[in-house]
Amino acid sequence: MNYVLPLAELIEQFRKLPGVGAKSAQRLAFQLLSWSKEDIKKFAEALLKASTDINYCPACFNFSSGQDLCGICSNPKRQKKTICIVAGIKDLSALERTLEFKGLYHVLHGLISPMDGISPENLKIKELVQRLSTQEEQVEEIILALSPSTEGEATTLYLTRLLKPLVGKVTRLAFGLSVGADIEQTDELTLARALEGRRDC
Amino acid sequence: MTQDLRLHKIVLGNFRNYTEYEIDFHKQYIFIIGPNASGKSNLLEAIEYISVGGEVNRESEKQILAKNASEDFFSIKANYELMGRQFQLEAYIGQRQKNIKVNGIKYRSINAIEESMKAVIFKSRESLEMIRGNPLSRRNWLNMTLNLINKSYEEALKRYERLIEQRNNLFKNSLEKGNSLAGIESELNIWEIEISKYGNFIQKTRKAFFNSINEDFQLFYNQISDLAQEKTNLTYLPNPELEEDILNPDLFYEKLKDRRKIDFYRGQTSVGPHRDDFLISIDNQEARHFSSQGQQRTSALSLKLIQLKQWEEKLEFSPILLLDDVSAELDLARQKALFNSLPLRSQVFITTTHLNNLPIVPNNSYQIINLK
Ligand SMILES: [Zn+2]
Repeated sequence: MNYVLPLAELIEQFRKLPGVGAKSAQRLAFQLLSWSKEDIKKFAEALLKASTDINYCPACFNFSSGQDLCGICSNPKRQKKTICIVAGIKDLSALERTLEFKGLYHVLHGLISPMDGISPENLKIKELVQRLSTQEEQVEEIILALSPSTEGEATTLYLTRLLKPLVGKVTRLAFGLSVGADIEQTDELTLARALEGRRDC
Repeated sequence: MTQDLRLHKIVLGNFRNYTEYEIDFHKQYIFIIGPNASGKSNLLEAIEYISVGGEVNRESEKQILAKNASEDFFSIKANYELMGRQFQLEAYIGQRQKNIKVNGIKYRSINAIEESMKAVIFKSRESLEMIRGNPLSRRNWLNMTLNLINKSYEEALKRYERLIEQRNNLFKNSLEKGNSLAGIESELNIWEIEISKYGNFIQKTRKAFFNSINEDFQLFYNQISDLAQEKTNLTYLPNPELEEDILNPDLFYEKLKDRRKIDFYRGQTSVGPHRDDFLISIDNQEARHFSSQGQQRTSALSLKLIQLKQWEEKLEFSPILLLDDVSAELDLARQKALFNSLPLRSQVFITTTHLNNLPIVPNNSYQIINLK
């Protein structure tokens, strides 16, 4: 169907989103056009603000606003002796939902996978090593919370070898999970147990 | 008495020569009779397609689709009964999408279905290929047989294959970027440790398996051939070949390390269980090169009977048996012997060109389907 140009362009933008086909894009565009000018303005501003103001935390690479440390790194109640390493921010959120973990995180932004063109240099590993030597409070334990997939296991092994000489204790989650399991899709209770029963690498 | 596994009905759409076809099966023995090119094998292939144990792969899928000039999908629906429960399977296979459901629940593949039909297939020509052909066809038989009886093996094999992909890709990427082998060493170590861990598990499982089936192979072989004096042997040939008969992950790791230079430039992994083979010998002669066609056929059938026996023990029910035109390839004595070796409770589908080639089965236990 032919729409007036601005509408066609709007539909096109929605189609860029994952899981949004032609029909859904059309539905979303029409929905948006039924809003008040005021609401549309708020929506557009939120989009812009998110893209300019959200950055990665310079310490752990979680989302943060501006150039500041993220909410977790800047929280004085979090104990800084333990760092939990996750593949992505979604995994961090899943662990936060358990309310079990009181330490800090480090987000790798991926797992080692040559098939996908990801090598250790593409992950925030250098930054982690840097962080261990510069952080004021000495890190005593590193918890590797990576999924038990082929790539998760390989990355766990890689980091274990790298970190063991640097940190007193390197542990990994105790997974009673099935092998294909993603951390972000695991329920809170199972994750809390995996955290509690973590074992030495 | 509860029946084990019975296929009751199949409905085909755009499958090979069947534009629309529906047929009920209501007996244990189904004889499908018709001249060549009447679609006998295609009907068996459809059953094969919806069963675990089928050898219909993505290549044949493409072929089936390519033959359908007007339509870009094919469909198979089936009703079957497994240990007293009824299942309705629907499979729509298109160029771009696959839709498989059992009792309304969606599955990724036939293999992912928990209560799937299991079938053991006897195809004379392809069975011969297993004896004469390259190691791949023998490994396929080995993996199919083991995957069903050992879930840890299946998982290890999947992981192993992916790890090999990762190692090969690491080489390819580094070569493209102009990195040296030394530059990727610490990462390479990781993939190789993982490869040797899972590879070792695969090889240990295979070794134990061959130890356990040698006697059965001899037994089945003697049952089918009447030359009971022939001495058979199955020998597992793990790769890398080991001086001592020890499967050890550290030794395997060392071998991988030794091959780095060669593998780096080829972007391939030249050692490991993905290159395993096994040797069938009859009276100390390698069957692949020195045996008669009759001996090779008997060997192939014996391997299939081993698969069947192993599966039956694990499954606690008898898989469906698909015998495709075996009468054309086996003499009467061998046919009879084969038939006598089959489990009593299996539902058996047999294609043949002539009615008088049929084995004798109890009255009222069989159904004849005539194709023209
Ligand atoms: Zn942070």
